[in-house]
Amino acid sequence: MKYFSLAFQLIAFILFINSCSSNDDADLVGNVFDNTLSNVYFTDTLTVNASTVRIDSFITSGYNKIFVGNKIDEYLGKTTARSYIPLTFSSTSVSFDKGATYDSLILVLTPNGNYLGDTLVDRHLQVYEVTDSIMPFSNGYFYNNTQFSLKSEPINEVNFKFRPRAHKKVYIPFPQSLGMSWFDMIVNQDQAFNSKNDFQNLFKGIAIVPGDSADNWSASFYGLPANDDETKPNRLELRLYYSVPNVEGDQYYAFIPSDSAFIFSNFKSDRSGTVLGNKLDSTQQVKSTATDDLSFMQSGNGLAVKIDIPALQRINEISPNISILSAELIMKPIPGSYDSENPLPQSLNIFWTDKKNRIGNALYDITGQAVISATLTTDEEYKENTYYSADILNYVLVKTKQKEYTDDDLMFLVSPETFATTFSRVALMDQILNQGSMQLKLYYLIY
Amino acid sequence: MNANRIKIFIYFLLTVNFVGAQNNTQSPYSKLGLGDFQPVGYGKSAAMGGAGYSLLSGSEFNALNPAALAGLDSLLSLFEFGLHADYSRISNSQYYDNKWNANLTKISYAMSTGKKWGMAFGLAPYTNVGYKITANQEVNGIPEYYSILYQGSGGLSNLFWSNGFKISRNIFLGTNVSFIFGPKNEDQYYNLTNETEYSIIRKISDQYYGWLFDFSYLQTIPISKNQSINIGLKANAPGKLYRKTTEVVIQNHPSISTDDTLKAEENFKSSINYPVNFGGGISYQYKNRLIVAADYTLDRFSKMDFNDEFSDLIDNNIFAFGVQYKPAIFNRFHSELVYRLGLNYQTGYYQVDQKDLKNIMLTGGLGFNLGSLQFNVFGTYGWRGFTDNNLVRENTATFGLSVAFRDIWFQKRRFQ
Repeated sequence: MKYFSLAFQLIAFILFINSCSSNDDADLVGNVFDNTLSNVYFTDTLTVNASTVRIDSFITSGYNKIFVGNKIDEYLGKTTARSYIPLTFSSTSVSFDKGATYDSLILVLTPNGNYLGDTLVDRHLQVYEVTDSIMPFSNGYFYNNTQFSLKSEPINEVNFKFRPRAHKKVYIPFPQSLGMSWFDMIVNQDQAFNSKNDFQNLFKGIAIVPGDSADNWSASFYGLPANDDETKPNRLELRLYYSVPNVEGDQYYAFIPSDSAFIFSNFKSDRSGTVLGNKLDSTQQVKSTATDDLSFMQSGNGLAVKIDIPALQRINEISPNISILSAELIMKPIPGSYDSENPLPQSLNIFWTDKKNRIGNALYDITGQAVISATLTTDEEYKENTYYSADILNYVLVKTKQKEYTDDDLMFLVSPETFATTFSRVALMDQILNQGSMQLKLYYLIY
Repeated sequence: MNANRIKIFIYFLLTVNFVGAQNNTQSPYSKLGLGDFQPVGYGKSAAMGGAGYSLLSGSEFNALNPAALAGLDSLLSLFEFGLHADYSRISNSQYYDNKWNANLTKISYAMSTGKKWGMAFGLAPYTNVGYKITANQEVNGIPEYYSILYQGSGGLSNLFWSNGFKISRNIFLGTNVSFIFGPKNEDQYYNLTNETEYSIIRKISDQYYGWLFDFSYLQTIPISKNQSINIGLKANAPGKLYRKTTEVVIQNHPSISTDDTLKAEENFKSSINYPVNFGGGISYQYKNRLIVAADYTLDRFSKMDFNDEFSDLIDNNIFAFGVQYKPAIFNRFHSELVYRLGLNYQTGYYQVDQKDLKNIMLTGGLGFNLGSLQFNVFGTYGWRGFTDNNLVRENTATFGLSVAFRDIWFQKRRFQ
């Protein structure tokens, strides 16, 4: 009997070690089971429809950039951007040392490095005094079509050559009469210089406007940078220079933007005579087939591209036992539409949109954790194979599960900041122009 | 039946569950057919290269030839179980992976019911299934490849009832009825996107069951007073294995809280014709000192028709050769010890690129008794497959043990 219980204990022990097998990570890349019948399929022939969509108004404030310029686009016509900047004290009050004498009043702009255009050609800038209070909408934002009245004549206008990489400052002198009157008011402790509010009643702000509208350029200046160097400020400053006896060198007092969130750009466009023409005047959406088989994204003008793939909701016609494994959208800009003067944005934002072309939620990946964007792959050598690609699996899964046709689709546009502070433009080819230029690469399993 | 034996049966039944639910191989080749076939013999046969058709013993259960049951000593009963531990290295031309694994394998009860009839029943692994393979497959419609992960588990078990009959002084006949049953599961993971958390999992579970019948023959040919030749033959009747297939397709979509079941198809029924396989062996015996045995088995797997693209099986020729030696008595301990050596060579049941998947195994072992416990230990070292063309080669070392508890029926114990 003692042997029998020994045997039983052995069995118990064996049952215990039964669980001790190392069965993990046994990935072996043998090709014994390769190249057999596969039930994974690929297609890139589904119809992808593209349209150009006009977004009526979008926020252009909050980026702390003074963006101005003219754009004459071969596809979309002319766009002009101007910036509005409300000004105020750089300290709580203004005063000068005794015996100070007025020198000059000069607007100083510092380029932030973003400049498109010929640096050898003189550019023309005008500065206007704004006669309305520069106040945002109740939500705190300004929009692309927000504008305020200006005095009929500019304060001053200048011609200069940009040195954007050197951040070479642009100096725009204001008239002596204006500077003198401000100086006198300060010295005489005039009511208008008692407080910031009082000053804004006197002088509401400025608008920086590009001059000659046939000039094709754009530039961006610092507004009120958060990390500014006090000794060499990059911020916009309206400097009141003065001299004090027995003190070497120029002294100045700086008026600065009252609020970085109040700096914004206003855009105006004229598409007459272009492929889009007035097609978007009465409607918000125009199919690529109506615009030379192209669809457009454009900053400033609020143009976005909308994609719909009608076959996704009928995907079960391929097989009732179908499941999507991967979905990548490829979109090619038309060659010749981009160069160093008209660079393609590195990435595009993707949003859900509806029948009314409202911008909905961003498109997330399958985990719901990361926002999906379309990224640019550049073919430097031949230019033919420059394209945007986006993993739109989540979108495809949602659409393939919908039984009824719905009008929620995807909208592609440049990032909100690019949208509000550049003249970026993307012209995408549709499938009719070139089968491979707008396609959904779909991998699916038939189970 | 006395109380001891009732206990034995209870323990036996309890243990049966565990034997049936084991999973003790990590061979990629276990994806093929019914899985990796397991040797039928116990510790003694395993140490002798798997040979045993012609072995006849009064004190040991020979699972290879049921006819040998009739040769058991009168009224002897043997409760026996086997276990083993494997250490294997799976390699291809670039990578290798080591793993180990331990399991209870066999459990059986054999008894002689008199001078002319012996029977046995038990549970043994029939095949084992356990693999995790990444393979590359072509996408239909574009010259591209995707990788698919196959993960297999399960294994078939053999619940058997064997009978051996003594026909004449030197001739024995045997029958065996086996109920083959168990699952062979495969999960296929598809993931073609950069989004690693998204995958489609296809779970295919084949539940097999079927009856198989074996017939065997064993004859002793005395040469002299001390020497004899034994021959053994075994064949099975053609049979059928039934298969119930359940397929579930799951879309693993982490942003949806629960997995989405795309398809759940249950109990798709099919069957596989089980071919006639046969084997035979011959052995030479000198007293109880020396046994030399050689076996040949033909498993006609080419006649098995799987509806599975991979399982293009071929006939497997198994050659087994083994020696058992018991030294002359020097002292009391040595008298109990037997030594065994063997060699097993299989031409393989699968062919890749016109090459057979050969399997060579060297074996060795010891047998000894401790009171009424009979121990057989064995060790094997084998290799299978080849690493040409990025195929997989397996080197496996196994250590195994079988323990038999001997008892005599109707024996009155003096001190109960």
